[in-house]
This record gives sequence, structure tokens and C-alpha cells, in this order.
Amino acid sequence: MHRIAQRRIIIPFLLPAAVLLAIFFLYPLARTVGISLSDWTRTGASRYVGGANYTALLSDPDYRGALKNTFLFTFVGGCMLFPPAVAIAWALNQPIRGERFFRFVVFAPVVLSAAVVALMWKFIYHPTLGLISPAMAQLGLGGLAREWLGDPMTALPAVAFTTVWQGIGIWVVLLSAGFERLPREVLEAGRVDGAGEWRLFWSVMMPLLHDLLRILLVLWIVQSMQAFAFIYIMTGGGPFGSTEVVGTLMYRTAIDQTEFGYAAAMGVILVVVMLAVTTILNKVLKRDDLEY
Amino acid sequence: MTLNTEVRATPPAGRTRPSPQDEPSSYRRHHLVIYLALGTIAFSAASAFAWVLNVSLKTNQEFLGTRPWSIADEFHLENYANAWTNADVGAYFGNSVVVSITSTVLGVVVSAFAAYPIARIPFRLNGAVLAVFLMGLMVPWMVTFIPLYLTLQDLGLLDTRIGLILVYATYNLPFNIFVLVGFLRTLPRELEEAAAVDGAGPTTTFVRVILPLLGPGLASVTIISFLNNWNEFFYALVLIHSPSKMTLPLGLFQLGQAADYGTNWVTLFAGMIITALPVLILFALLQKQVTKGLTAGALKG
Amino acid sequence: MMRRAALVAAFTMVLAAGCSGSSGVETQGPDAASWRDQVKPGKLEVGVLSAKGTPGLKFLENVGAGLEKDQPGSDVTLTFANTEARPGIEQRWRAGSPPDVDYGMFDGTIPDLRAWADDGALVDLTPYLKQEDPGTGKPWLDRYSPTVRKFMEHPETKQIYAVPSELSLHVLFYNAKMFKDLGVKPPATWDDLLAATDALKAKNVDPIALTGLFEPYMGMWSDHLWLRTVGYGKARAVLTEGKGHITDDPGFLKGLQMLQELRDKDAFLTGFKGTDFTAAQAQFFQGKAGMILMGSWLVSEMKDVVPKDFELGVLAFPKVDGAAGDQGVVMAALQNVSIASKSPDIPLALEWVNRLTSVETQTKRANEIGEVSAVVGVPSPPGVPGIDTVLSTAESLQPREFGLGQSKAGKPVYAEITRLLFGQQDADETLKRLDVALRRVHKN
Repeated sequence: MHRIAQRRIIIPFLLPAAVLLAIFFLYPLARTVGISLSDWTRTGASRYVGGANYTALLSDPDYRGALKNTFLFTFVGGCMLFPPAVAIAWALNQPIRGERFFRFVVFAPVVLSAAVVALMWKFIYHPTLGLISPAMAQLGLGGLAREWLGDPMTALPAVAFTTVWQGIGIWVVLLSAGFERLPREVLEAGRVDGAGEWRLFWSVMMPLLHDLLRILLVLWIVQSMQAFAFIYIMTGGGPFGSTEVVGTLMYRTAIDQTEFGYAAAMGVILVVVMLAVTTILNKVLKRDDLEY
Repeated sequence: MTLNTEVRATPPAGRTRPSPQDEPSSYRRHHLVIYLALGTIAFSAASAFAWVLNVSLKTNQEFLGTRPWSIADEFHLENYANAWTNADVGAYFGNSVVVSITSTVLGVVVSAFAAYPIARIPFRLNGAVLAVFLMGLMVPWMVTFIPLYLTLQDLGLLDTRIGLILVYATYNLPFNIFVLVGFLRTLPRELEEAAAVDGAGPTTTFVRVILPLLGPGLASVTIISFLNNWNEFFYALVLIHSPSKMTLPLGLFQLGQAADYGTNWVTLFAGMIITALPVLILFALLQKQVTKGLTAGALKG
Repeated sequence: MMRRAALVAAFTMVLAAGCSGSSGVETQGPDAASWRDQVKPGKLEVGVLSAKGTPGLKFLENVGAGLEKDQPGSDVTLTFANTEARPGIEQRWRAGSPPDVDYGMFDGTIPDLRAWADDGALVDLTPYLKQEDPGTGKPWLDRYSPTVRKFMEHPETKQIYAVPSELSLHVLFYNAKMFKDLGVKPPATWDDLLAATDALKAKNVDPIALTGLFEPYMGMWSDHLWLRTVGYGKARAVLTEGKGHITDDPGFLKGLQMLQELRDKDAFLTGFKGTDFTAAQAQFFQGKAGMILMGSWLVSEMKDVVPKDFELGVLAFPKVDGAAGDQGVVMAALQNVSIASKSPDIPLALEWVNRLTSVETQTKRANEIGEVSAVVGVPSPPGVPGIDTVLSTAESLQPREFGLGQSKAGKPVYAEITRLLFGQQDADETLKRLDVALRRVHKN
């Protein structure tokens, strides 16, 4: 009985959100697809060209390179983000003193603007004025020091690290909520059985957090594949394209070269790639095979 | 790190769980590792703020002429006055407050309503509707800004705060709905049935029974939306052009330009502190609610 | 159901979007002979390049205040229209509600920047510029140096769509005091430059400040070398316009080899690969490097942080003896202002442009901000000694970067130059890779 009554509220409840979404997101998105099928000039005149932008993209080594770097950025950044974020969240969930203080400081860089954080890290990475290379020289590791942002091997990881450093607070907040929510009884039972914290962490906590981790991973992928600000400010895509990601390439194409149609096509493909990756990941990581 | 020792003296806060194993006497060795690791991270974050604060008190000549890590000779508080008046940070502040709060509230309320049927009423297109909403997380702004601009122009909402509020609220929806749907699904199935037995209609059930339980989830999406809206730069830049309607990130952007092309760095850093403080205070105050909100099951898949 | 509705809506919108797009309609400006009489108080919005809190903006605010005083009741708004603000501003142009006066809407030397004029979005200034300037009794147009005419004028229609508000020259700055103290000769030729490099190295000073994090600034070196070894017209044809190949003219390889020689001498700032342009410039002014190749804006940009006792020297990029290119050409960027044909108050906009580019305003600006002017009779800025010689001895001014900045070829070209400077490849390899990249971009 109440099922039928419930059905009557579906549309009214969904309507406000759907209207907002349709006007300010779906409609512009559809227009973006429209733009991607046309040749847009700087002055806004457009000519329908069909799939020409898409076929051109397929043979564009810049776009392929940018896609590769985008994946690399997502992967490297993910490796830098998740282990520390999980560790910090776990630590914050231990009975330690000053937990609220630590929580606060870990979160704090989130509110600094990208411009300032990027500038600070440009100084930190600076080969002579910076903190890392001179410190390494002092420790006798001068041979390992590099021009971090100027070296194609290290530039991408260096920028990824800065991105992660600034944003990790949000992830820690989300993850530590997961730890907090773990059923006490299960953990206590484990402790009573004499399991060490390490065992407990791997065999009890991680499986229980599987779903949360999967969701956060998807969120990270979606977010990092759109990475723009730090790369744009710190390296501008260089040295020689080694940090050029789809975001920066698209910006250059749309804003500097005002080839909006081509840039829109890049964006549409990126959205499709993201949808594909996240769907596959969701399928692969579904934990039907896990039980506890 | 004097800060550190100070805080250690305070009792562990917000800990409600009585756990016999965690008596201070049963000090565990891994706690040392934890303190060391957390201390390092806290130190890096605190140093970053110390650095920003330090630069905000220097002169430009000092900033570029000495090593970037040296301590300010004397405190040039006039940098703050400059940021506040020259960059109109004061006026932008008001706009930011209005825009961020309104759009956050709108986004949260609308998503709460939308999330409910998606999460708890089985209907045929349930999954599809959710998927359409979640797609909003995936679209990069570099390509949508032109159509969005045209849409707002058609609606006569260009260069208005209302237009910006509606756009922000919309762009909050995907994440809000995502979190709230997860949260709603963790609530026991029997809630609605019990309410129905008591003769309550579905709307009444939602307002009287579900919404109160949704509190912690709402708190967390509120803070995250607010954070995004408070810091949002690009749409504000494209959609607003009257100085009287600009938000703080635009003010900060101008300061950043003055730094890049006029070496006026110190005012940027002062402006940064001014912009960051309210958010930090808000987080400090709401920290408990946020953590609680997320803890209560907000991000369950 | 919701989804189906959304899909239908989306489909309709794709169709609608495909048909959108505007074509410009030229509006009638005021009568050329009497426009000055038509200037009345009104509202004016002007795009500016200076950010809030900079001396540059304060200066323009004073110009605005002057206009508001002479036309009581007027309201002049200055809108920031530089860098990241451009997308929004250009979208306003596309949408038909542009600022009355704006920067960067026209450059006769760059095909891409003629689009707005071709579309009728800009007021043709020619008739107004031909009118007599009441102050001088000569045509208004005569106020501007003939060397910059090609930036103002449409090459096909010969109509003028923009006037110069400031001029930047690319020059070689050197630390005059250091050169004097160490007895090093300021480099007028490439051989001088190599000698100066050796001399500075011998005294443990890095010869040349450079940023490795901004490729177009590294590209300034190849731009200038090719200007000297290939020549402006030929280099531009190959690089930007895709006419011919980079292997056709031996000057290209020669320029790359010269750059490699500089690199092999270790002439660039220690750690330049990881150095930001702000830091590189600061290090030059701190005496950690002897020279820097940069736009003349360097001085106004770094004004607040140049040490009091710093003695600056300015030279044109060194000549290359015996090379086939242009030895007397100086690369320049002109900041142009244009008027929107959709402006509701064209007379007031003309009055702004007139005031902004008057000899008085430009002189004041040169003295206070250190900006180089393209207006005849404006002294060179006192903070940039030697820039007047560079300007007066220049055979001609040519647009910087061969127009690569707005071209698809820009990024790949500068990426290869970066590889060369970073020691990843030598001149021959660079040429080969440039050839491949250019053939790909220009499809030739």
C-alpha cells in the first residue's frame, strides 16, 4: 500500500534537482557535443564538420601523449595519495592524544589556493634556492638531487605530489570516517584473539573498507583525470610535453588557439574514457568474491 | 614545534568509546610511530602556513631579494590593509558569503529531496537517474563554459549573483546526491513501513522520520559543497564581470596577477590568509559534525 | 521516464547548438569630421591589462578620472582583461556585449587576430585617424611611429582597427655595473656574447639567466638566432605559415648549432631547468647572472624589487656577422587597443583612446611606469637606459615569436628547443625532430 503512495512522490522529489541539472548541466553538455561537431572560429562563427574533429584527434600524437600523461598522473598521484591517506586515517583513529589537532592540520592545506601552494612548492623544488636539493647536497646525496620540475623524469611526479599534498585532507576526512565506522565488536574480537594491529589492519579493516576504497578510487580517477591547475601553474605542460595532460592541452587548444570545436571533442572523448575506466573499475572491484 | 607539545597536554578529544585496552598505561609501541608520522605531516602543513604568514609580513624586495625561507625582518601589516582595500577583499568577501551560503543550502536541500526516491524507492529507471546525476562529476569546465555562458545569457542570468548561485548549486548536486544516496541506503528498511503503519504519508515520513536521521550526512555534504563554492574560480570569472558582484577567488586572482606581472607577492599572501581564515575557523568549529556525518555511513557504496 | 525526457531535450539542443553562431553587423560610428563635438558624458567600460593594486592600474585610473572630470557625470569602469580573464572577455565579444574599448582584439601581423575585424566587431578607426589632431594640426595618425603601422593595419583592406597603447621590445639586458667591474665588453655581436660568457664564467658568475619552466622564454633564444641566421620573412614562412621546410635553409641548423654552443659552454643559470621565471629574473637583479634576454616589460614588472644601486644595460640582440638573416631587426610586441562596433558610445570610446595614446599620457607613463611607447616624441623610460638607442637604430620591428604563440606549431617548436637546451639532443637531432613536427602540424 505505502509502496504505491511512495511512487507518487518520485517525480515531485526529483523534479527540482532534475530541472537544475537539465538547464545548467545537460543542456550545456549537449551544446558541447554540438560544438565538438563543428569548426568554431574565435569570433563564434561555426560550421558543421561532422566527425572531422574526432578523426583528427585519433591521429594527433599530442592528444595521445596527453592521454598517456593523464593516466600516468592519475596512477602516480593515486600511489602517492592512497597509502598515506589510509595510514593517516588509521592513525587518527587510534587512541592518540591531540587527535583533533592532527585532524585539523592535515586538513588545513585544503583551504589554501592552488596559486599559493604551487608557488611555494616551486620554491621548495628550486634547484638552488629550494629546500630539497640543497638539503640533499648537505646530506651528501647531492648526486641524487635533480632539477625536479625541469627533469622530464621527475616533473610529473613532483607536480602530482604537490596536488596530493594540498588535497589529501579531504581524503583523510572521508577515510577516517570509514575507520570510525568499523564495527567495534569485530575489532575487539580480533584483539582478544591476539591479532596484532598489523594483522588486524590487513585482514579485518581493509576488507571491511573495500567498498569505501573503491568509491574513493573512482572519485580520485574522475578528479585527477581533469587535473589542470597545478600542472598549468607549475610546469605549463613542460619540459617538452612531459607533463602535458588532457586538461592543459584542452585549455591551450580552446583558449590560446581558440579552436573550440577541437577542444570540445577532446573533452567529450575524455568524458567517455572516464566513464569507461570508472565502469570497468567498478565491475572489477565489485567484491562478490569477498566474504567476511 | 611548540604547538605540538601544547596540544599533547590536552586530553584526547571527542572520544566516546570506552575501551579498556586503551588505558594510557597500556602504551603501545606503534603509537610512537604514529606520533612521529603524524607529527611530520602536521609539521609540513603547519610550516606551509607559517611560510605563507611569514611572506605576508615581508616587503616585496625582501621576498625576492632574500632566500625564500628567511624570516621577515619586521612585520609589514600594511600588506593586509593593502589586500583589504586595494583588492576590495572586503567587498568580495560579502559576495562570497552570500553566494556560497545560498548555493550550498539550495544544493543540499534539492539533493536531499532527489536522493530520497533514488535511494529508497525502487523504480525502473532508478539506476539510470543516478547515473545521469553522477555524470556531472566528469565534465571538465574548459569545454562547457561557452555553452553555459550562452545558457545564462538566454535566461538573462549573466553577470548576476543568482545565476552564479544556480550554477554552483547544480554543480554540487552530483557529489551531494552520491553521498546522500549512500547514506540513505544504510538506514533500516523498516523505517518507512513503520511510519506507514502509523498512517503517515510518504512526504510526512520523509520530513518527520528520514530528514532528522539524515542530519550528519547533510552536515558533511554541506561543508564539502561550501568549500567548493567558496573556492570556485573559473565559472565566477566567466559568468560575472561587474566588480560589485565578484567573489573572493576573483579578488585573489587579481592579486595573483599583480604578483606575476608586478612582483607584488606579499599582498597576494596577505589576501590568501584573509581568504583561508574563515574556512579554517568554520572547519575547526564544524570538524566534529563533519567527521560524525561521514562516520554515520555517508560514503557507503 | 526522466531519462527519456532528458535525452529528447538533449537531442533538440544539439540541433539548436549546431545552428547557433553569430555574424557581425557593422554599426555606424559617428561622423569622422565632427566626432570630437559628439563626446558627451556617458558610461564607458575599458578592458585593461594591469591587475588591481599595481602602479599600472593606478595610472589608468587617473586617466579615467581625468575623463570623468572633463565630462562631468561620466562613469569609466576598468575591467581586468588579461591572461586568464581573456576567455570570459572574449566570450562577451562573441555574445555581443563587449567592453567599449579592449586590448588584444587586433594585430595586423597575426592572421588569427584579424578575425574580429573581418567579422565587423571592431570600429574602423581609419577615418578618425585621418582627421586633424587639434593639438598638433597634423592628422591624428601621425602621432604613432610608422614602424608599428603594420600592427595597426589590416594587410588586405589597409583599414586601421587598433592603436598602440604600449610597446614591448625584446632586448638583451645586462648588469652594467658587473660588466664594468669585471672589464667585460657588452655584447654587440655573437662573438662578443661568447667572449662575455667565457669572461663571466671565469669570474664564477652564471652568464645568462633563463627559466626552464616556461618554454616560450627559452624559445626567445632560437627566435632571435633564426632572425639573425635565417631572416624574419623566411623563418616565419617556414615555422608559422608552413611554406617550405626547415631543412631548406641552412640558417636554421646554424642557429641551432649556435644555441648548442652556448649550452655546451654552460652559459645558463645554474639549475635553470627547475627555475621559475620570477626566480630567474630575481636572480639576474641579485647579480647571480650577468645577462637576460627578455621583453622590455622586465623593468616595469620588477620595479619594486630592483636594488637601488643596480645599473642596467640594454642592447639589441647581438648581430651575427656574416649570417644571412636580418641583423638590424628587433622583435616586438605591441599592445593594441580597439573599439567595439557594438559600443553604445563610440565618441566617448574614441576620446578614451585619444587620451590614452596622447603624448602627455604616454610621456607620463614612460616616466612613472617605465613603459616604452610607440607614440612619436615620447621619451624612452628613464629606468631602461639604452632602449632609445635600440629603438632608433632598429631597421624595423617584427612581431615576436614569428607569430608562433597563436599557432599550433608553437608548442612543438619550443618543446624541441627546450630539449636542445636541456642537453637531451644536439642541433642536428633537433633539426630532424623539428622537421618532423612541422611537417605534421602544417601537413606539408
